Amino acid sequence: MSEERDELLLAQDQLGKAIEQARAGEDRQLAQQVRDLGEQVVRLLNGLQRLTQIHDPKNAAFDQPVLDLADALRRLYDLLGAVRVVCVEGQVYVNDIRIRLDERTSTASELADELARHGAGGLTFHEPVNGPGIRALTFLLAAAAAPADARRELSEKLQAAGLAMVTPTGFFRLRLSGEKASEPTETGLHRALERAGAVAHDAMAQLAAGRMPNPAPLRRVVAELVDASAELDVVADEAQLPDPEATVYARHTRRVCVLAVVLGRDLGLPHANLADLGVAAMFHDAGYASRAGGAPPDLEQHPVRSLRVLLRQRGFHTAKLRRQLAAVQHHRGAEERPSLYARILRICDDFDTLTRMRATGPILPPGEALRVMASGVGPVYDPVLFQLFVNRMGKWPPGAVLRLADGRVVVSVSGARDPSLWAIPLTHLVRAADGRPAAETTAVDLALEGEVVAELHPAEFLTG
Amino acid sequence: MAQPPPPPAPVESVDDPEERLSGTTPRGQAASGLLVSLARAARSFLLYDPSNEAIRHFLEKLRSSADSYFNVYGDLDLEVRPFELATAGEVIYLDRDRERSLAFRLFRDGVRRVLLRPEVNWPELLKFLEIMSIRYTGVRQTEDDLVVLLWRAGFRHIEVEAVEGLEADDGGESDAMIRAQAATFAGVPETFDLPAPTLGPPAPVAYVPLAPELLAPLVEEDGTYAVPGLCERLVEELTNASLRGEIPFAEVLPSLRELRDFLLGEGTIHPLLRTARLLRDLPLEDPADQEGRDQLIMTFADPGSLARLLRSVPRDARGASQEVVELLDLLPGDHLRTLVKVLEIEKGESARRAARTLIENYVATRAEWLQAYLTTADASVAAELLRAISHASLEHGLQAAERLVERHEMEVEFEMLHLLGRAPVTPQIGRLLGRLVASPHDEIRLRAMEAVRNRAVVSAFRPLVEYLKRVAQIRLDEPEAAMAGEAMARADAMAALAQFREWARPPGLFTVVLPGHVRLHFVAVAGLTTMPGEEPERLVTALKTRAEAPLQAFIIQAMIRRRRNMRGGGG
Repeated sequence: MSEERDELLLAQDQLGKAIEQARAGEDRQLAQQVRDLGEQVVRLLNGLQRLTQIHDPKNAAFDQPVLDLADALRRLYDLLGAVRVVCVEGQVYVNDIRIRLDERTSTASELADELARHGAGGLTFHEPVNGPGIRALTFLLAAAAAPADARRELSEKLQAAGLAMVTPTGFFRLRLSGEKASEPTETGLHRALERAGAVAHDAMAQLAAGRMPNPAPLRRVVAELVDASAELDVVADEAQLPDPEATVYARHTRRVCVLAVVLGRDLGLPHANLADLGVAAMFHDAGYASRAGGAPPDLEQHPVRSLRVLLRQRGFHTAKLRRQLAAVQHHRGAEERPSLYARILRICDDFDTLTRMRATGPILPPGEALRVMASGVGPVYDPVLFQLFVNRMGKWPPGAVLRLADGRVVVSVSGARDPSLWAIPLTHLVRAADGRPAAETTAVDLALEGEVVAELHPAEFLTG
Repeated sequence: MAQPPPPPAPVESVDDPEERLSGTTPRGQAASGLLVSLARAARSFLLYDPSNEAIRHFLEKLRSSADSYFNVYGDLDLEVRPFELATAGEVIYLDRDRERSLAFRLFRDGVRRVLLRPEVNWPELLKFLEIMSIRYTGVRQTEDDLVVLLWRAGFRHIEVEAVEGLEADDGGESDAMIRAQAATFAGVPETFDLPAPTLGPPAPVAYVPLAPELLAPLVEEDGTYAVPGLCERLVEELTNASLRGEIPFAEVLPSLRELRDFLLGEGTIHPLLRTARLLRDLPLEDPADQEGRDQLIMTFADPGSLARLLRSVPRDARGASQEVVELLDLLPGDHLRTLVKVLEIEKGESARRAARTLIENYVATRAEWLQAYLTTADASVAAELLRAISHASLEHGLQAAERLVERHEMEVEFEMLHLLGRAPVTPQIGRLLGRLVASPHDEIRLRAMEAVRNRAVVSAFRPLVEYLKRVAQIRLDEPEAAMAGEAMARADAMAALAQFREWARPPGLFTVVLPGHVRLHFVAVAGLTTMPGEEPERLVTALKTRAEAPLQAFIIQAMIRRRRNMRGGGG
């Protein structure tokens, strides 16, 4: 009994500590404050709409509610950052917190109906709105909705009225049917990689528009990549993914993410931390979304700009902490002892910078890039991390174009499959011995045939 | 100090009509019991402080219901519906309250199926509970939803299937609008991350296996214990960026507050101290920035912050660490008031103890203020302050005790007893003890009398006798009478003998023997039997001849003890 009691005491201690950590940055009044302010916002939004049915826009009856709403929004913004009001299935949520409205009143349904006229299921306030802005918003919402594309129309009107910080969101519902968790397959991985690129681009676009960093959409796709990296050669797959729609930046971000997750896995980071690392990689160049000073930052400026952008997200979380440090430190040399994630990202980031396909071709072929980076071990690159990276990438990393002794030209499509095969990747034929381009994908396993005599510059052989 | 009685076991809210045991089959009912236990345990962290004993009760319940289910029925395969959980089509959990419902919480975040295998162990179940509890209590939930938290846990014996919790329901219009918006983004310039790093000539690379000992230190950098250090580093980065004009201090402030809150919650005093120093020494020029910084520094030592810091003092610590003292010295403000406030708001024993030891540092310079404060303070605070004062200075403690004589709360009187027990015997001590022997609390009276007896406090004799004369008319039980008699005898033997003689005198012919008189006989017997000489024994013997049964029995026992003590048997 005593042993059982001790176990329970220990469990209680550990749970208590975990919950205290999760509450860090919050105090017990916070949830109540958020509920109270959220309720105020919802009531005032709805109340103002009702007033428009009785009074004209200049009537003094609007004055106080307008100020009250502006004040409530400002206070909520200070607590949480961007404020999202969403009407779902008869309920109203403010930033995922359900607002408890008296069910005898019809506030929730009235607000939902008003928004629905404009094809909107909610409103997001990316910044506080002042009194005149609230008044303008009120009358825009009260106005007749466009017969088609109502939400887009409303969005444009809001922008024209100087209310770009307010965006109407679509309808939401809670999906009923389940989907089986995806098994890590090549096809599933490709979809996840494509989604990762799209999500990376969208995230940058949102940041460029002054929005708060939102890790939620990134987390799920990163989780899929983490799961896939346990069983598939995600580095090779990512290198081969055509994805012509993705921007250069999106591809870079995705690649750094994949390389970082794999490096983190080889290091032995726990499962959950790999996701944090992956999300940190997705945000590591957030500073390039910044246009402070009217222009994007240069190499030297972008780390601190990245930190500045990431500061917009409120609420303490260890993942956010690591992400912010990684962003601001990821171009520092290892001798300055930046954070672990920053050191990991430095390696992955530089490798991609050196080997990324550009209009004029990459700066260096992959194999040579590794050897050039090796000269920086110590001052620039963490020795242990770099060795792990080399062990994983192999002598001829994915994308390395190799001339074989018989004159064939192949491209590496695998990293190191095995320590004994570290210098012997799986390849695909690019050109036959007679110089003709390969008509179809032909695998050439260098473990079975062929001898590498030189690494060639990819620009000569590959397009885009 | 007397401990309050333990709280009664919590009454489970079975009167909640929405959440009740469901299930039509034995298996379903067992599963229902498990789920209801889980939901209640998760909610308990909303209702109780994490260290509250009530939580242990809920954990016990969870464990036993989990054992009951898994040992008998194996898998628990749950289908998650908006307000219900079902297994094999049988509804085993129902709660339509969106705030309370475990089902709705899971459903809202996109979970559609949860499979718990019979091999699920207690640590995994606890982790599952932790995740449910966090989602019950968390407010800023932009980082992780339930699905992500469950994924991060990496369960081996719990599987989850999930969809996006909230999905757009507008025929793709939302996606299209987002795409359109993204398309207007001019994008990152092609020259991003250029120029490329300048490195030396190529060096050879080879496969080199790495021993786990080489990897372990790096993995530790990503561990929980490294987080406070990372907080410090981020504070440095933020403040440096601010000083260089790269990030306005106003934008940095909210993050500094969050980092401070985390460090306070962790109770990691070194990073907190260094952070406070760094902020204090920050050469800000803008008055608005200075004001923001100063306000932030003040919050390091506000009641809430101090309470959090002190809460993390280990149970077995003897008090607050020197670093906490250093931190307080670093920060402006009247920390004594803050520490007293902590005593008012904080219920945890280790935090209160830490606050008390910190207050001791102020006794020398703020004794008057403390003494004035404690006269109107809440009883528990007054007791703590008295202890702090008397630990620091006996003299100030006694002065404080004088101010508390009119207070009769048990905690206060207990604390006074402790204090008087340490002080040398003086008329002042006697006077104070004399007040305590007349306490409204039985235990206090007994202990006070015991102190008078053990320390032979002469000056407490008279007050004790006055008290006995008063109370004997109403009630005086045997133990108290016995202790009182012994105390009188030790405090002042001659005066006691005279008093006992009077009380033991046979009544006059027409005198009615009142119950109060008889009660005083018990006192007299108890005192006389501890006194040497023939007269005490003669008086007791005389009393015995006319005593009724209870007093006779008391006398016999007292005489036995007397004989034993006289023979040197002690006891």
